[in-house]
Amino acid sequence: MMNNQIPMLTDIIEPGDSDKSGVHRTKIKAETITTALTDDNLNQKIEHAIDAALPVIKRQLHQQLLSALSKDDNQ
Amino acid sequence: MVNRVDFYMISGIDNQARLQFACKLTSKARSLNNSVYLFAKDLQESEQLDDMLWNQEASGFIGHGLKNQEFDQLQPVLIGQDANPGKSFDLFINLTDNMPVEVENNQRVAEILHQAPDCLTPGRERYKIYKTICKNNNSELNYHELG
Repeated sequence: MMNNQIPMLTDIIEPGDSDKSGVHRTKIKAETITTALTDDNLNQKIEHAIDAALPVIKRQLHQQLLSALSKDDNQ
Repeated sequence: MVNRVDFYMISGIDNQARLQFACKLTSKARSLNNSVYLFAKDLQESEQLDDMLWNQEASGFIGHGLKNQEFDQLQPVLIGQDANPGKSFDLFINLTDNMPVEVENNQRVAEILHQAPDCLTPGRERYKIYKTICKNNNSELNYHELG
């Protein structure tokens, strides 16, 4: 997968899903990148964000696949 | 024609465990490339199953959808509250307490029961009906007790 194909979390999370994932509300406050990357709390937040985003990504990819298959069928 | 019917008896009276087992069966069926219909008792249960399937193990992927939504006829795994899914599936999982109509159109049927009387009593009635169906079709009827 190319970098530019990796979906942004903010693009993936649908309106209304922010409550479930907390992704929108996660504000990263760190003095430097180093402190941010070694912050266990931040890592945990990222892990939770990934856990919350995965089902949404799966759902969207499946919809895209069905949409493409449906177009193929109609051609 | 239905070739095989399996009854799975799970311990306890937890409906959530029943749904979790249904997701496991679905995952197993998909790994064999089988199509699956999950017959849920109501919309709330359908949506619960939908969430559970998308939240199965992180690296896993069980593409599925709800009946009467876009592309439902293309879904390899369909969840619905209609006893008749509109086409035949390799595996029909009954999560209701009713005998599904035209269930014989599917290759296999799985009935998942737990120990609560309101689940067991109608389950026993269905077992009798399936016994006749299987006898007439010369198909398998199995019973599995799960820990």
